[in-house]
Amino acid sequence: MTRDEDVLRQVLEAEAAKVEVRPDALAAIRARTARRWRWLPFGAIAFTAATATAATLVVVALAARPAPDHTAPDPGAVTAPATTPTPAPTPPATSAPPAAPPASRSSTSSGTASASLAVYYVGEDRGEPRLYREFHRLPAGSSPAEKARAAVTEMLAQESADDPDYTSAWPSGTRVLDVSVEGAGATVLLSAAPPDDLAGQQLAWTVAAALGGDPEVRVVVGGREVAKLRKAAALDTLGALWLIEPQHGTTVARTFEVHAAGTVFEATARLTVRKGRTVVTEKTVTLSAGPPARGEARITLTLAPGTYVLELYAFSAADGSVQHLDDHTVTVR
Amino acid sequence: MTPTVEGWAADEAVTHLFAAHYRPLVRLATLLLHDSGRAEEIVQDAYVALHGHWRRLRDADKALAYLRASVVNRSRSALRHRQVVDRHLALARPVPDAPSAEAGALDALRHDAVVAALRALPTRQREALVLRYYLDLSEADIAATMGCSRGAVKSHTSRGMAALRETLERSS
Repeated sequence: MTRDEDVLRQVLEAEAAKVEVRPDALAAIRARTARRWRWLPFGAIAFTAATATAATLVVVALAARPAPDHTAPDPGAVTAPATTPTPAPTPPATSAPPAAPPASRSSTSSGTASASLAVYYVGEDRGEPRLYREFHRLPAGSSPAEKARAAVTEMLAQESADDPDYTSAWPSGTRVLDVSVEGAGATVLLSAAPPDDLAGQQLAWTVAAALGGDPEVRVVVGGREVAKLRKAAALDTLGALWLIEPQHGTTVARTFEVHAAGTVFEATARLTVRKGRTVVTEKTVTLSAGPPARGEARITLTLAPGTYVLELYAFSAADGSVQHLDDHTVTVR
Repeated sequence: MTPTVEGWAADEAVTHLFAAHYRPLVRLATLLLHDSGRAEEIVQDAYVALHGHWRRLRDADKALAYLRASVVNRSRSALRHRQVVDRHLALARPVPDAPSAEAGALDALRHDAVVAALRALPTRQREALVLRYYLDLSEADIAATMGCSRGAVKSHTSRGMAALRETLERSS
């Protein structure tokens, strides 16, 4: 045994020693984190003290990755379509490219049993935790219970959100043991109870997206029911402005569509495209409906190859401050 | 690490942690994934995420644990997405790497046999073995990194070793 262990150590050591890293790695990381400094020049102008909003604005950035068989209805996000009809910037799921996958972390595999499922994460909107949604391509069967299980498993996986601004309210190590569906409700067997309401809402919205409608979600831990969950009101729960496409971390073609949805004052949002600290372009985005309805908008951008940060936000009616920002880093090839 | 860790801004933290851990983490991810390009992307993603979480971590040891767990988790997820493609390619694929001059006492063929056997293991068994025999982590640290119990680590490790034993013994 000791001898086996030594051999394994040697092999691992030798195998690891073959790996060299790219010389520009730190610069690449810095380029991606630099966007967190965007508020320094910007905020000096835009931020004033008051934070009262007249409107709720939600920008959702969703997957640029194709979602051809996406079937998760998401009644809470009424303006987000169930499918993304934009020309897919990444190869279609059926082509199963063996090499050089797009930069997107969740590159698609050839289309056997996988589905693009909505997973809810926690982001910050004006200092308040709110739910944001990503679509992840996950291995899942076709039944609602299997889809719900796949989506909840992904939600509980540590750091599974594509957008580094999104986190989970669930402690790491929580596992889903089973999901069953009875009628309009679902029972989820977990290894631990939701630590707080926010975690419960993350679960309720994720399960509801997989099943459709507004199911009652029973949480069972160790044979005991510990919670009965329902989606809370969208306005109090979801991030106000959602940038649906392109999703964080994806690679898109030079001409691509930006898809936004939300409920904002005068149905007006703003899109700023930055490269490093330079503003490349700014656009006013007029959503199809104003409060209390949720409007949406699609605009087409053409950018030179490079890495950009797309920021979608709204101005406060009270004081003109920037609100409800959702931003995604996107590579144009 | 330095005593001023708590005063680091997220940027400084990334710079320090990059210098200390980036290469080993890329090597770790490569052992888990057998794809150094993808491994590097995953580790960069982990650093970007760390940057966003720094306010809550503020501790170099916790940050390393976070990076490790993040890399293992992201590798697992990348593997899962790749599995279907890989199954189709497995038969057509040639021996993945050229023999290494650094294989030391082992000749190249035996080295490759062990690497191939490791690659054939279930994901979690491979994770447990790599974390233990490459990073020399304790059982508790492996459990934290993999997000499972120590009992599960024991069982993954012993099953993984059992599966490798025949290949290893031929190699020793």
